Amino acid sequence: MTAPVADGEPRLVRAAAPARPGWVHVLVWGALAVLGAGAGQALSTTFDLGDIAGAQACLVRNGISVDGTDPVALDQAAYRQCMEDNLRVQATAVLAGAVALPAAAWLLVLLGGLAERWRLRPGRITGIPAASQRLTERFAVLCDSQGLTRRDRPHLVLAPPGTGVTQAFTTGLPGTRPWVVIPLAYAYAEPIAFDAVAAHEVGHVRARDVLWASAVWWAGWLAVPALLLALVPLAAAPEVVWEFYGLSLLVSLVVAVVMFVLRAGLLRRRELAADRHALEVTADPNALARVVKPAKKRRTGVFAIHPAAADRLALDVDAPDREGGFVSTATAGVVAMTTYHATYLVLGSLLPFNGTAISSASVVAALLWASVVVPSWTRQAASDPSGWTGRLAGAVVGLVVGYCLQPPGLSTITAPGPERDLLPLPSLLLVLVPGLVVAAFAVALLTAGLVARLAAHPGHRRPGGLGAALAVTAVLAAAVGTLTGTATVHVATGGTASFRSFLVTNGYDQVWRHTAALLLVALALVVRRPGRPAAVVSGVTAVVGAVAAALSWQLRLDDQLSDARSAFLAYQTWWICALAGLVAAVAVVIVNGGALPELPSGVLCGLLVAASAGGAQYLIRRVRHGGDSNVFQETLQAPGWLLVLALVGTAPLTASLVVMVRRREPRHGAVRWAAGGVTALLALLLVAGGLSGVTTAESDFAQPDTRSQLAEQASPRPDPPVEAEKPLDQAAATAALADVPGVLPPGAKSVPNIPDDSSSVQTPATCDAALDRSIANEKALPRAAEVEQRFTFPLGGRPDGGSISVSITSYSTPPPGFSDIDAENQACADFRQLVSPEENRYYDFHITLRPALDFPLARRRSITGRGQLKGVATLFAFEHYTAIFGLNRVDVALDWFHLGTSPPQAFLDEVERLVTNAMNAIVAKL
Amino acid sequence: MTETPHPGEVGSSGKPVTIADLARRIVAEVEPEQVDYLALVTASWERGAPPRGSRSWTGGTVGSGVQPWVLADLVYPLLAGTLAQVLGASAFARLQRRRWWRKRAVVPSAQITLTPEQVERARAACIAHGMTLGLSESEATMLADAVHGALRRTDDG
Repeated sequence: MTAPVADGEPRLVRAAAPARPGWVHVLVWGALAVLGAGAGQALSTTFDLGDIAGAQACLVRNGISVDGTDPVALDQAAYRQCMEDNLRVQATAVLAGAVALPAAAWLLVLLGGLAERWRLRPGRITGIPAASQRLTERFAVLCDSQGLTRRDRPHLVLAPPGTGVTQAFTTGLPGTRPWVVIPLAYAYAEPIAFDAVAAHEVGHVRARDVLWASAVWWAGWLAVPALLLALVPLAAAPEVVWEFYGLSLLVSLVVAVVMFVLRAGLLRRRELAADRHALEVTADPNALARVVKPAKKRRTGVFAIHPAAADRLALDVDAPDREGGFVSTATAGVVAMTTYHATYLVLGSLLPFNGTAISSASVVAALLWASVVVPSWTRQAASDPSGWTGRLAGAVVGLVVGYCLQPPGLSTITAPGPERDLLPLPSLLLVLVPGLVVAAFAVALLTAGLVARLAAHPGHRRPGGLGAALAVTAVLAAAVGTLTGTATVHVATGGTASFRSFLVTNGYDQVWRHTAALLLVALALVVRRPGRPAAVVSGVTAVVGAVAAALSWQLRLDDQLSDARSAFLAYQTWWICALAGLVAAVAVVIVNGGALPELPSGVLCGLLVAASAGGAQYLIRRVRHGGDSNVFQETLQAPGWLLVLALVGTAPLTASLVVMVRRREPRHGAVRWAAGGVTALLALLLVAGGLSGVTTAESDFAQPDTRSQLAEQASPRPDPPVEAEKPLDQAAATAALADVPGVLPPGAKSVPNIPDDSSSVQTPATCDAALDRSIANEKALPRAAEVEQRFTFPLGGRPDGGSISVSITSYSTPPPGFSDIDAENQACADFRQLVSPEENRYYDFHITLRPALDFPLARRRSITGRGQLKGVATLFAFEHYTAIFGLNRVDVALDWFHLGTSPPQAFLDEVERLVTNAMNAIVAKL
Repeated sequence: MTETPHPGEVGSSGKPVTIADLARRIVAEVEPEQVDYLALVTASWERGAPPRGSRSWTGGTVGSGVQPWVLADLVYPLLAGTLAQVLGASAFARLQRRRWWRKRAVVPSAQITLTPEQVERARAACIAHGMTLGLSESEATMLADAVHGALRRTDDG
C-alpha cells in the first residue's frame, strides 16, 4: 500500500492518535507522593519535629508504656492528649513530603525542558542551508494532514551538526507547544526518511509521551536522595541509619531501579506505537525500513528505551496494543496500596479517633487503582479480548504486595490508632494475605468482566466507564477496609467468631453501608439490558429467596424471642436473601454462556434478587408484626452487603464452576429453573446450621444467655446468710470484703474508688431523672456502715483489662428493695450517646436484664455500649450484681472493654466467673 | 588544550593533505549535493564537538532511536577508522585532540601524508570500517573506492 503521489511528494494519510497513557501520570505522581510521604515522616522523626521525647514522657506519666506492651486502648483520652501534637506534626510532615517531592519532580521536569531549549537556542541554529526549507514545508504538510493546529501543532527545529543532535526527538515544556527536533541531515536523505521520522515524532507528540517520560525519569532519580536527605541528622551514626532505615533505603533503591526499568519498557512500547503511527501516516509499509537499519542484536537490555531493530522492522500495524498487562497492573496495585498506607497514616494521625480513617484511605486507594486499571484494561480489551491471565495475576500480585510493602521511610501498619503500637505486623499480614488474595482476585475478575462488557458493547462507553470505575472502587474499597478492620480485630481478640461478626456487621459502617446501593447504580450504568434468560433466573431465585427468608423468620417466631435470638434470625433471613442473590449471579452468567462480559449482568441480577427478596421478607414481617424499622437497611443494605461478602469470598469457587460448565451458546430450560432449587437448598442448609461457620451463628448474638448458663459453673453458691437483725459496723463491713482479692486473678491490685459523679456517659433526660431519683433515695436512707473497694486485674491479655468494684452498705432500717433499679432499667434500656457530632460518632447503650436466681432478693444487669473507634467496632460493658440480705446491700460491679463486636467465649466466661465469685465471697462472710 | 600535528610529520612521503580536503573530495564525488552540509559537519568536528547521540540527562526527550544515513555525517568517522588502521595507533593519535572531558576526535584541519602502500591498504580498511559503521558491503565498497580515488589523486598531486 502506497499513498498516491501529489506534487511529487507522497500524500500523507490522517492517522488516529496513539493512545495516551494517562494512567502513567496517575501512577508516577502517586508514587512520588508516596515516596515524599515516607521521606516526610522520616524527616519528622530524625529532626524530632514532634518532640517525641516529651510525648513519651507524658505517656509514662499517664501509666502508658512506650514499648508497645500496655493496653493504651483503655485510656484513649490520655493517649490522645499525650500524642496529639506529635501526631499532628507527623501528619503535617507526611503531607508536606507528599506535596514537596512531586513539586520537586515537576520543577525538574520544567528545568529539563528549559535545558533542552537552551541547548537548541536560536543562537546555535545558524547557517542552515536553503535545502532545509523543503523539510519545514513538508513538516507543515504533515501537521496539517493530522489536524494539528495551535498549541497541538509542534514546532520543528532542524538541528545542524554543531548541536550534537544525531537522532530525531521530541521535547517539551508543560503548557507550551512541543518541539520536534530533527537532524538537518534528513534534508539530504530520502524524502520518505524524513516523512517516517517526522511522523514518528508527531506520534509521540499526539500521545504526549514527553511529560510522563520526564516525570518517571526524575521520580527514579529522586527516590533515594529524598530519603537520604531526611536522614541527614543521622549521618554521624550510620549504624543507626542502617538499623532503622536500612530496609527503607533498600526498598527506595529497588523502587528507583524498577522505575527506570519500567520507564524503559514502556518507552519501548511507545516507540512501537509511534512507529505504527508513522506507518499509518506515510501509508508506506516500507517507510520504517528506510530509516531503521537491521542490526545483529536481536534483544535489548532492560534499560534500553528503544526496541530492537528487528522488532521495529517486523512491526504489525494491526497488532494489539500491549499496554495494561501484568506489569502495569501490578504497578498500579503497588502504588494504590502504598497510597493507602500513606493516606491512612495522615488521617489516622490527624483524626486519631475518626472511625472513617480506614474507610477513607481505602476509598482513595481503590479510586486510584480503578482510575488506572479500568481505562487501561478497557483499551486492551477492545484490541485484544483474550489474554486476561496476565492482567488478573498482575492485579492480585500488585494489590497484595503493595499492601504488604511499607513505603520507604513510612512507619505505619494497618492497625488503627494507638492499637497500631500493640498489634504485631506479621500476625496481621498472616491473617490478611489469604483474604487479600481472594478479595484481589474477586475485584480483578469484576474489573475484567466490566471492561469486557464495555469492549463488547462500545455504544455507551463513557457512562459505562464511569460505572465500571465506580463499581470497582466500591468493591475494592469495601474489601480492603473490611479486611483491615477484621484482621485487626481478629489478631487483637482471637477466635473465628470475632472474624465472622466483624465481617458481617461492618456493613453498618457509615461508609460501607452504601456499598451495595452504589454497586447497583454503577452496574446499571454498564449493563443496560441483562436479557430475558437473566430475568427468568432472577425472578425464580428472588421468589424462592423471599419465601425462604420469610418462612425462616415466621416458622421460628416465638413470643419469648430474646433480642439476641431476634438478631440472629434477622441475620439469617438476610443471609438467605444474599444466598439467593449469589445463586442468581452465578446462574445468570452460566445461562448466558459463561463468558466474561456476562459477569456484570450476573452481579447486577444478584443484587436485584437480594434486594427483591429482602424487600419481600421485610414487607411480610412488617405486615404481620408491625414495628418500626429501616426499609433501606432491611431491603438493600444488609442483604446487599452480605451478597458482596459472598461474591468476594466465593469468587475462586464460582469462577471455577463457571469455567467448567460454560459453553458458547446460552443455556435454556431446566438450568434456569434449577437456580430456584439451589437457592432453596442453601436456605435449608443455612437454617439447619450447615453454613453457620461462614455466615452467622446464634452464639454471635447470645452472650447474655450463654453467660447465664455459665453462672451455674461458677464457684459453689454459698447459702444465703441469716438475715441480720442489727446493722454491721464499719469494721465488720470491711471484713466482709476481705476475701474478694482472693477470687481475683493474680496481678489484681487495689485502686482508689471513683467518685459517684465521675461518669462520662451522657444519658437521656428520662434516664437522668431515674438515676437522680435513685441516687437521692439511696442517699436518704440512714446507714450504719458503708465500705467500697475497687481493684483492677488482668483480663483478656491486658494487665489492667478489667476493673471491679465491691461494696457493702449496712442500713439502719431495711432497704426498700429494687424499685429504683427497675425504674432505671426501664428508663435507660436503650439510648444513644453522641460522642462526636462532627464525626457522627456515637455509642449505643443497652441494658440487658439477667436472671439472678442465686439469692431471694437480687438483681443482675449488663449495661453495654457499642460503637466504633477509628473504624473498629468497640464494646464496653458494666456488669452489675446486687443483692439484699436483711439490712445489708451488697453490690458487685465489673467493667471491661473490648475491641471488636464480640469477645471470645473464654473472655466472657472469665467475666462471669469473677462477678459470681466476688458476690459469693462477700456473702459467705456476712 | 588542542594538539595540532605539524605538516610533514605524519607520512613519510608524498604531499600532505588535510582530512577536511579528503572528506570534501569524497563527498563531492559521491554525493555532491551534500558539500554545503559537509561544511557544517567539518566546522563541528573542527570545534571538537562531534555528534554525541540523543540521550539526554534531563529525561525530557523521547527520541526516534534511528540516525540519518548521509555521507557527510559518515565521512569523518569512516576516515578516522581507516586512517587509524593505516597509520597505526601512535601516528593516528597525533591527528587527534582531546579535552579532558571529551573523547578524542580527529581534527579535520590535520594534515596527513600517506605512502603509496598505505594508500593501497586504505581501501580494504575503508571497506571494513564502513561495514562496522553499518553500511552494506556494496555501500562500503563504493565509499572505499571513493576514498581510495581521493588519496591517489592526492598522491598524484
